[in-house]
Amino acid sequence: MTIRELAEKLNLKLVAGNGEKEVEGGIASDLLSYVMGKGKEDQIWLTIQIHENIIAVASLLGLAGIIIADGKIPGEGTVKSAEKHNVTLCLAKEKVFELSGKLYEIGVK
Amino acid sequence: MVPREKLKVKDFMTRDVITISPDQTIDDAKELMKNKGIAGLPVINGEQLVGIITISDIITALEKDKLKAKVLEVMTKQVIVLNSDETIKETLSRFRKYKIGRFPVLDNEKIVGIISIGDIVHKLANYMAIDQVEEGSKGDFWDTNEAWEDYDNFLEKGIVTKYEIMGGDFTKAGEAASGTKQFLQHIKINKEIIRRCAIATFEVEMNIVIHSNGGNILVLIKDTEIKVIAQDIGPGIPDIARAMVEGFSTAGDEIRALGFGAGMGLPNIKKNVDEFSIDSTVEEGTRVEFTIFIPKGLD
Repeated sequence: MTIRELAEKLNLKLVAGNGEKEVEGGIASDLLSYVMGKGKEDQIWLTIQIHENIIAVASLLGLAGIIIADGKIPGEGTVKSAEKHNVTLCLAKEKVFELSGKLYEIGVK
Repeated sequence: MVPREKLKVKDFMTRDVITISPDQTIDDAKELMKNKGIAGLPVINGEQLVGIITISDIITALEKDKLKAKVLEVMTKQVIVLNSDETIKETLSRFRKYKIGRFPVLDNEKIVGIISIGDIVHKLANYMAIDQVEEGSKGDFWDTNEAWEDYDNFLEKGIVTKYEIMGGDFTKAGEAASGTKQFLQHIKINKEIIRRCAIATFEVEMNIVIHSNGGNILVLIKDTEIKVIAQDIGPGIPDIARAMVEGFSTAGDEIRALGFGAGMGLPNIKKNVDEFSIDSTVEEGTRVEFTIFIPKGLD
């Protein structure tokens, strides 16, 4: 499913990007180099990091997008960078653990 | 670019001076230095500079168990100061002569700034054109204003792009990696090679931002290989073998809070490239060089 569909199912807020990428699995981590090392193209990235550099990581790896969890709000710089690099950014109220579970349940494995 | 002879103290100094008063305690000074991450405090009485207290004074006070004593008792009263209009050339020779870490900057007897050797090094990377192209790499500097269509002629010899990286500047971090990725996509390089190159370039770029005082990255792209040379101006790595160990990082707490400092940067680079070398001299700088081969017929 696309991120847009995923966001609708889980009631996430889409704040940047068009959400059109198909999601193939996910990765949950707040360590950027960990994601750089283990992340795969088209995965959805769950994190509570909100600074601009997460966009660079998502863009360079070709991730499907980023879901910022735990009600955290990204800064203007991050949102602008996401628009500029065409990275889909979603916001979730749930903590990462819960969010992972819900994604798993709807088939993102 | 301002000619080097014209660079002045006021171009490099920190204007937000953190000061302390003579009747505060040495413990107050210690806490202030710790919280602000600095190693020296000018001592101010009203508007007048009356002395300076440095981290050496704190260490001595700790050894003698005198933390509760007043700053007045241990501060250096004969403070060497600079004028904001002095040239950096003069300032550098003063640093060499006096071997102290910082000078308060005074204009008309009022403190207007403070300058440390770190301030100069940090900003100098932007002023100096650090030419790191090694002999034998036959590249033409590719002007980003040139039409990309011209690249066909250059790909045999190689196109070199240089990115200046400022230490500590997280807002621009990732530009070298992302610029390189975009170019490789434009010349239709295989996706997997682009991915490996993007990861390695990002890691080497972040290392300069996180751990160094600044530097530059040269990206040489030929039709047969991509070579990246990342050079910084310090502080250098004392134990390279240790730095290569997965999970080991010297990143501070603030950096770790941003999700950096996982200790996977150098290992991530090594995993994704075909040739890798790292060289470092403490106080001079670190140079990381890697090559990714582009096999024929792959696109």
